[in-house]
Amino acid sequence: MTLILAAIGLLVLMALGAHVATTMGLISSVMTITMDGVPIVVIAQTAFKSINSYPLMAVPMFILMGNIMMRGNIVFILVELIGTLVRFFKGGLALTVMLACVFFAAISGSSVASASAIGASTVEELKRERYPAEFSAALVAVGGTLGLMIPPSLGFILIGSIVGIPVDKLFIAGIVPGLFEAALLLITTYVICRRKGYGTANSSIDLSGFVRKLPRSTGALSMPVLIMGSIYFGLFTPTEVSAVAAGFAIVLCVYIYRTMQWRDVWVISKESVMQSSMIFAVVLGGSLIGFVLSRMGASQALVALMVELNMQPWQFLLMANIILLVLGMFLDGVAMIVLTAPLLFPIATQLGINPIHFAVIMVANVEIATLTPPIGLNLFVMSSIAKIPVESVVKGVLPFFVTRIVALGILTYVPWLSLVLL
Amino acid sequence: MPTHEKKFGQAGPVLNMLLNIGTVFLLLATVIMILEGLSRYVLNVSYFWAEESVRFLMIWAFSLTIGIAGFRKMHIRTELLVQRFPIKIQRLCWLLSCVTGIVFALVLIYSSFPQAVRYYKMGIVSESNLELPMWLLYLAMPIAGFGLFWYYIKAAIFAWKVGDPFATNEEPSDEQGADNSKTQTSNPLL
Repeated sequence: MTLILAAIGLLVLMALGAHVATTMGLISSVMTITMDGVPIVVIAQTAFKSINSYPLMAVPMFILMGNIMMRGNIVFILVELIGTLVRFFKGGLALTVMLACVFFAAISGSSVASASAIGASTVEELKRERYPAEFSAALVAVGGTLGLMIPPSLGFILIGSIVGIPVDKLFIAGIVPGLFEAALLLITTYVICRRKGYGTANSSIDLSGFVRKLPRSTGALSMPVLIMGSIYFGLFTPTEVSAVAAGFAIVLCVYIYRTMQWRDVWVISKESVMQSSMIFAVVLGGSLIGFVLSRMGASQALVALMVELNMQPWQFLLMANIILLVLGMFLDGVAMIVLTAPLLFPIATQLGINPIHFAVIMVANVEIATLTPPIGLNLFVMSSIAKIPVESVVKGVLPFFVTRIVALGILTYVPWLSLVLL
Repeated sequence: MPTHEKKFGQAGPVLNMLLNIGTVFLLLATVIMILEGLSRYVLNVSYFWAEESVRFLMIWAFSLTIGIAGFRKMHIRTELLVQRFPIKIQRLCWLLSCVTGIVFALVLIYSSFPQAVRYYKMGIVSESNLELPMWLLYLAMPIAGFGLFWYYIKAAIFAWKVGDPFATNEEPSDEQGADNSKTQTSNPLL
């Protein structure tokens, strides 16, 4: 009963606009204080422990790296290079943008950052080739979500920190699902362009242009190789690679491409530290909720209930997807992970579902959450960049949304995709 | 400046200075991790102090900047429902949000400060070879609480006297705010 009241209080406060971090912190603090035999100092101890985590330290540095690459206009360089190979297709520019999303996903851990960077760099170009604004906006909104699945992924770092799964394994697990989703989205883009006659096509592949532009793009292309290669071959820990990648991004943008100055690096670092604080605050609040749930035996009770109901793994996965899809309509990705991971992972593990596979499913749901109204963040980002109403972006996203749901279904029931590289 | 023209977002020189210190901590942590990663890979030498110092630098960066992150409208909230209410109800919601933050900040301070004092009196140091005084590390928690408290108090006063302290379409007006407004904030992150 207490838990139900607390959940209602949490949802009401959040719905009334209270900050997610402080709402979680306050509700769980009140519950902790009212528990028998729990000293108040436990609140501070749990809060400190939650952010005193080595894997979590990758978050600020990946944020710094993503922001540097975003502001350094690296997307232009990628779009130019990819375009030389892809633009002989009908709708080649749309495919170029989607492929740029895949590349940018491999250097950014955030869906919103990817959409912002690619949208700002490509929407005008798409407009010049007479792609409808709602399609262009939807293309980038959907492509941007790949930033969450393809490593480095802030979602995986959060899940790893909260649940205790090695982040490097989660990163490796995200590679194939990310590429699989990208392939489905590319096919969807191609089909839409063919059927609706969007875009133009060059007469042939521009190989000379590719050779000419490749040397300048080498730096940008080497970033995903550095990140994924070093993690896959175990050269660096995720936290180390986040720092090395941030340093490399600064060198690229300041000295090689000269798209920013040290003054800009300082301003971006300030912004990055505040964004990291925001995430740490949510993690802190979520850890207190986790403590309360654990102390009250909520996870164990749910596990027992599942066993009693004789729930099969496929039924649980279906239920988890529905819960996450519904929550994703109203919650931000960080809050969604922090709130649901402590409850859902113990059940998944109890039912014999590989936690790494379940982490991939959770991230796939967070990706979709950034596209679902009323609080689909990428919809708002692209509405602002393309200067069209959010409803128009939603309309454009619909065909891609079907693809995302199909992808989610396949990722959910084909664990091989998530576990093949491990 | 007339009251109706006031904009929320001025963090003041102290919080701006704390932001600068927090940013230095982030950059320092990044440099240390680069050194550790490269040294471990190239020289096969690992520094015993690297991991712990990065953790504590980032914890302190968090505690110093959590308040100003509020002034810069970085903290996550949902405003969809609130926007549909009449202005009087909206004001109540803003105040409710502030009270939530203030109470949590006080809980954080109240629960962590005695622990920091206890660590100080007992002279406890961290478990690693660095042997840092734990009270110094733990002090980050009440400092974070103070940062949040200051932010929510200012936000509550603004909500009471002027308007929406959480609105994101206003540009902060002090120096750092101007810096920040040049760079498009993409928030929240996921």
